[in-house]
Amino acid sequence: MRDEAPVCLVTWDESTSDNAALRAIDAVISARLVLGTAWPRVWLGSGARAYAQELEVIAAEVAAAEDRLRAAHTLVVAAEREREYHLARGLAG
Amino acid sequence: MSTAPDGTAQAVPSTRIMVTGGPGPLVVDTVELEALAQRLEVAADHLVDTAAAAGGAAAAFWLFGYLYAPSAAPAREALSAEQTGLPHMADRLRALAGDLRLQALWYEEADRRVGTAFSPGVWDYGRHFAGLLPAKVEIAVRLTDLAMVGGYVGAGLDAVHRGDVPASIAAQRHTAALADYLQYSGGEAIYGSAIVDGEVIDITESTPAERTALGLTSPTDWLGVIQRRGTEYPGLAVEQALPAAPWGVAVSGPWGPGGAPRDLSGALGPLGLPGALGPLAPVELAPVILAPTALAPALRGIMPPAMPAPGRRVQDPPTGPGPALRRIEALESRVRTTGVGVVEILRTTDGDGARHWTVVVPGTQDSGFGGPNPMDNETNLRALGGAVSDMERGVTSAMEQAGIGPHEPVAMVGHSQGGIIAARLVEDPVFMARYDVEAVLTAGAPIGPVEVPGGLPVLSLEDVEDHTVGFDGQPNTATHDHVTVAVSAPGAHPPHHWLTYAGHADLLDGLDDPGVRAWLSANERAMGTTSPGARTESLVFDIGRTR
Repeated sequence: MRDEAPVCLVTWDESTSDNAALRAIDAVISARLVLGTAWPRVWLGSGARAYAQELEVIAAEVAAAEDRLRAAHTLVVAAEREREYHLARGLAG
Repeated sequence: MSTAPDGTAQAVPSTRIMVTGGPGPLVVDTVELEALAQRLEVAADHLVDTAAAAGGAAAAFWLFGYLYAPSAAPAREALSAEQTGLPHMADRLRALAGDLRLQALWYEEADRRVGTAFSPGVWDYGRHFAGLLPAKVEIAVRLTDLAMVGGYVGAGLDAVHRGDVPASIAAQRHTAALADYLQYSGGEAIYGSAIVDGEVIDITESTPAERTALGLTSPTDWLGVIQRRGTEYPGLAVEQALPAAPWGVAVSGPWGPGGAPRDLSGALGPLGLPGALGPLAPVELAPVILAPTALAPALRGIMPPAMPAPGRRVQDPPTGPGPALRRIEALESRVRTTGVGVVEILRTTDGDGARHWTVVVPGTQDSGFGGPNPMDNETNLRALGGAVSDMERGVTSAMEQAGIGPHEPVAMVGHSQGGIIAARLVEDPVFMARYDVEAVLTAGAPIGPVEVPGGLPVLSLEDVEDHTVGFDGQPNTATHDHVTVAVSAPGAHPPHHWLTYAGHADLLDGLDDPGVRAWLSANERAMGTTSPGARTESLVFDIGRTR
């Protein structure tokens, strides 16, 4: 149990929704990876089984959150492009 | 998890169940549990960061004028949802980390081994011979003892109330410390014996908590006599409550209102033999103390009645440990009316005519010592110390009067003191030679020192916040047949209440543990209430001390 949990070292400029959403994705990936190292190796018994079941449920929910954030990021990118388009039209106008 | 009115998941302290004992493998490295807990907390921190970043992304839409972009609204809603939901998931991870730490603590306590080595120290000899020393020295010794005991008790109470560790663990640690100090304080303890009502009990193989409990019986007996202004209750009577009478109305025993004993001289049969007037006659037991393995004379003197004892039909018989514990509600109600102890014996006759028995023993009902109600602290100290108590004798007599046959399966259910009584009875080889006890449930009972016989399925329920289960100063020994199920259920009823334990018992069916499954099967077979065509009757017995 001495291996180190992964830590996100990238810092993001959160001045745009795109970057903030990417940072959210990065953080949730970090959470998923850490949870991947939280499975018991030595512990045996009904308590360990119950823990593993609960951890599995939470890990699945974290993975689902990651998927949702990725989908949201796609929407963010699209919205940003639309914003640029509108801004360009506004400037042109 | 629960659901809030707005439909979002709420993190609440979860019910955690820890099982020790049974045939399944159990390997625990508490260092690993701590490492896992730390990782869960790191993951929780990441989720909080995720939520913050998602919130930042959603806010940026407002700040930088995305409002006119058609894709902005769904993106903002999705990010806002994550900003709200992820902190709850982080809370669940932190709760799970807390559970892991609790389990690490519990498993460490379960590993505690209590020695039985008999080795009084210098101070113990000094305390014993203080009476031979000058008065000032003796007074100094006694005051030192009092101060030490006060310190132990005060520190224990403080630890229980502070809540740094679960109350049961705090009580167990402090009881162990107090017992280490007090174990040789009884009159003859440094010689390896305790004298209880004139009977000499060998304590060289006892645990410190057992020695301490036995050492306290004498002073507390005196305390009880002083409280009752000299009235003593050396006798014991056991009488079946008339089934025709509604509970709580008819008091037909040798006790008047409030437990005041009546004259029993006309109620006993010739030669004073119990049962001589039939199954409804009160049984007066001689005021003798029996050695732990000497219940035989009492049993030989009581023949099973020729006619089955009348019972009261139970319309909704208990089919498992939870409903069996809920029988205690009516029994406690009866105690409040009669002022004496009570035990219920359920007789179940299955479709083939075979009989099964369930013996339900409630917990402490009287905070005094040695009064009319034997469900008191005198019984607690004796049962904890391993001396035969009035409730053991009373329950045994009730089982005889009920007519339990030697080969008929018996399930025993005891809450608190009742659990100690049940465990002490099955520890007695004479009792086990007479009765076919096939399953025992103890709920909230400190039975760590009890040596449960191998091959008998015993399940002990312990709420981790119930300080009572720590009064034995040691954990239950985890064996193949003795399973201890510890439950952490924040926000439940008062931890020691039988209703709380009934709720815990209801959880057993959902446990995937081989020890628990084996016990449930054995208990179901012994109770017999789920057998096709089963019919269950209730036999209630009053147990009271008499003058």
